[in-house]
Amino acid sequence: MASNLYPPYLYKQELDGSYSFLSDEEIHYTITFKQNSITDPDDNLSPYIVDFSFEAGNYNLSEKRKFDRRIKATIVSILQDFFQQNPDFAIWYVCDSMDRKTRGKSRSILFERWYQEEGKDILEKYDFELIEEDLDLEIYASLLVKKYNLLIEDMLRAIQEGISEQTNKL
Amino acid sequence: MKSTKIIIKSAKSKEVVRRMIKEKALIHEAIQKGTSLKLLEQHGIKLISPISL
Repeated sequence: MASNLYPPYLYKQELDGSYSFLSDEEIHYTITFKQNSITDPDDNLSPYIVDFSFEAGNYNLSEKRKFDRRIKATIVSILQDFFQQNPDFAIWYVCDSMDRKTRGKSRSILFERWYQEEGKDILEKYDFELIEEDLDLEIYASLLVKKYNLLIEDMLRAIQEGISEQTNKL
Repeated sequence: MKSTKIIIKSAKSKEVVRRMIKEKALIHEAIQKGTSLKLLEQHGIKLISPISL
């Protein structure tokens, strides 16, 4: 649960369907939910899997930023609201690595830490590593569901059928 | 951290991954430019609003 010492920022819904908040450092964060791009749209489970992303809109990557615990608290709050209103749904989160190859893995580690700190008692997290050798890409992604979600096995099947042909447990 | 490793090999899988990357890049670009994400609908990207505020 988010600590009272670091309350979430107030977030709002924009006309385009995204959600946003402004941090104390005046960085504008945008959160999006959209239909999942991995699963077959004709799969019955596809509407239950929602792509989630968040990013800062107006900062320079080379600038040093103050560590802001309220950002985590806000993202956690948004995800709590999502699962409260959509208990049977799942979140598909791809760790962004567009700015640098190693960023995807470090974001995946950060997301795991947030999950361990805030989510593990109520959520289950399934991690994926997609390897695309032609493009020299390693994509880190996770599926988040509420514990005891009866659709989880079918969701995992839908994800794997959407992309895989050679799957190994690491 | 237990993870499922998926090797992207088939043409279909590669297409799925490329589409996912392209959609993410388009959203990223729109956010950086500050343009409305509504414009992404022309690329088949439609945001949904699963949270009632």
